[in-house]
Amino acid sequence: MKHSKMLFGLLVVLLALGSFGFALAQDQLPAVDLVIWSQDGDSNNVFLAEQFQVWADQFAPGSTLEIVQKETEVLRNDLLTAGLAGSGLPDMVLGPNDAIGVFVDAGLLQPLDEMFDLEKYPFNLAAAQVGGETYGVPTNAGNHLMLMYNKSLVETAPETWEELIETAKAVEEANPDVQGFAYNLNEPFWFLPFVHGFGGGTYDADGNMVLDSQAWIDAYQFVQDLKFKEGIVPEECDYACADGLFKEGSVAMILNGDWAIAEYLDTEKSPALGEENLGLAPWPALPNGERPKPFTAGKFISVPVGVEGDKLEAVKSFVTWLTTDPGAVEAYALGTSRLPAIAEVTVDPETNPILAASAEALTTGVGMPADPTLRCMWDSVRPQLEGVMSNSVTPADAAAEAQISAEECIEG
Amino acid sequence: MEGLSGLTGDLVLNTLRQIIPLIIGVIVGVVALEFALYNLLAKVLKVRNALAYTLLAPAAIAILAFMIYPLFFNVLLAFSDLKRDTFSCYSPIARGNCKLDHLYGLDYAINNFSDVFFRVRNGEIVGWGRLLRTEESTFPVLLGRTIIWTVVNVIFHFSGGLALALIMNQRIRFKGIYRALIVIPWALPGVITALTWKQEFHAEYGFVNTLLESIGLQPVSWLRDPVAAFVAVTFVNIWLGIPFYMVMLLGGLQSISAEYYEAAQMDGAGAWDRFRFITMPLLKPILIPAVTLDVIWTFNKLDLIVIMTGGGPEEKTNILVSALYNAAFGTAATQELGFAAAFSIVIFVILFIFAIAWITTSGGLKEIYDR
Repeated sequence: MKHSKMLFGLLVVLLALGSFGFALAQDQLPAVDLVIWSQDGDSNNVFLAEQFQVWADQFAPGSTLEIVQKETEVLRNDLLTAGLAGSGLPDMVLGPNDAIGVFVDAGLLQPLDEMFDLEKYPFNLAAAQVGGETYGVPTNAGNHLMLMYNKSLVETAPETWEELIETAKAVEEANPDVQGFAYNLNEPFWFLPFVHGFGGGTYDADGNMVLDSQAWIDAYQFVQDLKFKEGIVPEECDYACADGLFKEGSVAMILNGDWAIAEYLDTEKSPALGEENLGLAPWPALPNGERPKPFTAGKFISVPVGVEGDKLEAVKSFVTWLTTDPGAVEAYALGTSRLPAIAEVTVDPETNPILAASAEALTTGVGMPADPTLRCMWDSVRPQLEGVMSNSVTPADAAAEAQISAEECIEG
Repeated sequence: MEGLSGLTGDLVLNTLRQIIPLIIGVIVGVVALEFALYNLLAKVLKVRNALAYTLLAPAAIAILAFMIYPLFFNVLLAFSDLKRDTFSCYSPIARGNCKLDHLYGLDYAINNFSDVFFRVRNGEIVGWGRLLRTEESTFPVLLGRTIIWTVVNVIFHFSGGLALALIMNQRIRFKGIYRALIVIPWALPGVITALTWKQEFHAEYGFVNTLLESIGLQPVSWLRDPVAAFVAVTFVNIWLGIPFYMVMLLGGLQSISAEYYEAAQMDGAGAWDRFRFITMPLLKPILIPAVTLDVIWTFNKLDLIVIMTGGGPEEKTNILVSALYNAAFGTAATQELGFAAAFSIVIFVILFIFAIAWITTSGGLKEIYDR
C-alpha cells in the first residue's frame, strides 16, 4: 500500500513535470542560424550578441546569430549587390533609417506592418515608413547630434552660440594646448541642424526639395563665420578628429551623436571623459533665439526579402523581444547609452543624468524622413559645404548650386 | 566609427579558424582537380602537352572567372536600365512590379553612354552631363584633370626613378641599405600609405605643416583647399611610384655592358653623350613597358584618392576612375549601375587606345616580337 502511494505520487510529479515541459516546448522555436548586418559599432554589437543569447536560451535554444559589421555605404552597396545576385542577403539589417528608402525602392525589404505590433513604438516609427508601409522596427530613439563638453574644462554648457564662442576662446586662453570647440565641419549631417534653426528644411509643404532658401544661406554664412570670423573651429576637422581630440581631452566642446556616448563613458577608451567629466546638452541657441534642430530617428531592424519559415518566425520573436521586453530594452538600448523607443521603459534623471540630458537634446530635434530622395540633398550639399568651409564659395552660390544639383539628381 | 576597437584576440583566432581550413581545402581541391585533369588529358584523351595544359588550367580558369566574366557582365550592364527604381526587374528576389518592357537593349546603351558625356532633356542635348554632383564634374573636366595627373606623375616617376637608379648604379657604400629604404614605399600596402599621408597632410596636426612652419612658411590647408589637395595626392603618388622605376631601370642599367662605355670614352664621348647614345637606347626595352604600365596604373589610381580626399573637396581631386567609383558606390552614388558600367567602358576604351597607340608608335616591344 505504501509502495502504491509512492508510485502514485511519483506519477503525479512526472505528469506535472511533463505538462510543464510540454508547455515550455509550445513556446519554443526550432533552432536557427541567423545573420544580421549591423551598421552599429563593434562595442554596441557586443550587447546585441549578449541579448541574442539570452533570447535564444529562452525561446530557441541552439540558435546562433552572426553579426557582420558594415559601414553605412558598404552596407548599402552590399545589400544591393546581394539583391541583384539573388542570394547572400542577411536575415536582418540594423542601421539608421536613411538607407531604408533606398532599400524599399529597390524592393529588398519586407513590410513589417503585419508582422509586429507596431503600436508599441509610439516615438519614431514614422522614420521607417515609406509609402504608408513600415520597414523598420526601432531598437532605440535618437541618433541625434547634441553638444558634448568636458566638465573639467567647461563648467556649464553654453546656452547660446555667443556664449559658446566666448567659452571656447576662454578655454583656449587658459589652456594653450586645448581646442575650445570642434565638430565634423564638412559633413552635411552636422550642418542641417543650423538650417533647421534658421527656419529652413529639406522639403517644402508640397514635398519639393528646397535647398536655396534664405535659411540655407544664413546657415552657410553662420558656419563660415564660425571658422573665418570667429576662428573657433580648427582649420580642418572631420569626425575622427573631433572624436579623437575629445576622448583625450584636447578639445573642450564638440557636436556628436548619441552613438558615441557609451564610448565617452568608458574611461579606458576615453581617458579624459567618463561619467565624471562628460556633459551633454541641447545645441546652443542661434542669434535668432532658435536652437539648431538635429535630425532624429534611431536605429532600426529591417527584414530583407527572402526571409521565411522558421527563420522569419525566429526573427519576429527575437526583434519583438529585443525591442519590447523591458529587461531586454534596458540591457540593450540603455546598455549602449541610447534612449528607449518604447513608453514602458523610461530614463530616470536621478540615476541616469547622462541619458536624461540626451533625452532633453532629443526633444529639440526634427524627424528625419526615410524618403530615398534625401540622398540627393546630402550629396548635393556636401561639395557646396566644402566650398563654403574653404571660403571658395559664397553662401548664396552654394545654396543656388546645391538646388540645381539636387534637382538634377532627383530627375535622374 | 570605432576603428579597430573590436579586433580582439578571440576574433582573430576565430577568423583564423575559419580561414585556415578554407585555404587548406582550396589547395587540396586544386591539387585533386589538377590530378584528375592531367589523367583525363594524358591518359583518356591522349592530348599532347597535357602537363602544360594542366598547369595552365588554374590561371586560365581564374582569368575567365575574375576578368573575362566580369568584363562581359559589365558590358551587359551597360546595355541595361539598371537603377534603384528598376532594381526589381533585374533582381530575382526583389519585391515590386517591373515597369520595363525589356531588360537589355541598344536604346538603354545609347542613353547610358550619352549620359556619360551629355545632359539630355526631352531628346535634346542641353550641356555636358554631371557625372557627380557639382557643375565641374563633367567628362571633359575630369578627363583633363586625369591627363594632367597622369602626365605629371609619370614624368616625376621616370625622372626620379632614373636619377636614383643612376646613383644606385655607382660604386657607393651601403648601397643595399639605401636600395631597401627606397623600395619601402612600393612594398607598403597602399591603404596604409594613403592613411598615413592623410594624417601627415592634416592642417594642424600633420608633419608637412609643422615642417613648413619650422622654416618660416605659412601652413597650408592641404586637404580642404582643392588645389592644395590635388598637389598633396600628386606628391604622394609620385613618392609611391619612384621605387618602381628605380628597380626596373637599375636592372636595365646593370645589364648594359661596361665595354660600351669604355669604347665611347676612348672615342671621346662625354657623360651626356654616353647617357644619350648608350644608356637611353639600351634602356628602351625596359622603359617602354614600364611607362605603359605606369600610365595605366596612374590613370586608374583609385585607392589613394578615395582614401586621402574621397575626390573632394568640392569633388575637385577626382580623376575619371575615382569619379566612377563615387558615382557607382561612393557617397554620391545614385545606384545607376547601367550608367556606371557605360562610364567604366569609356575609361577602358581610352586606356586601350592609348596602350595600342603607345606600344606601336614607340616600338618598345619590337625586340620581343622580332625574336
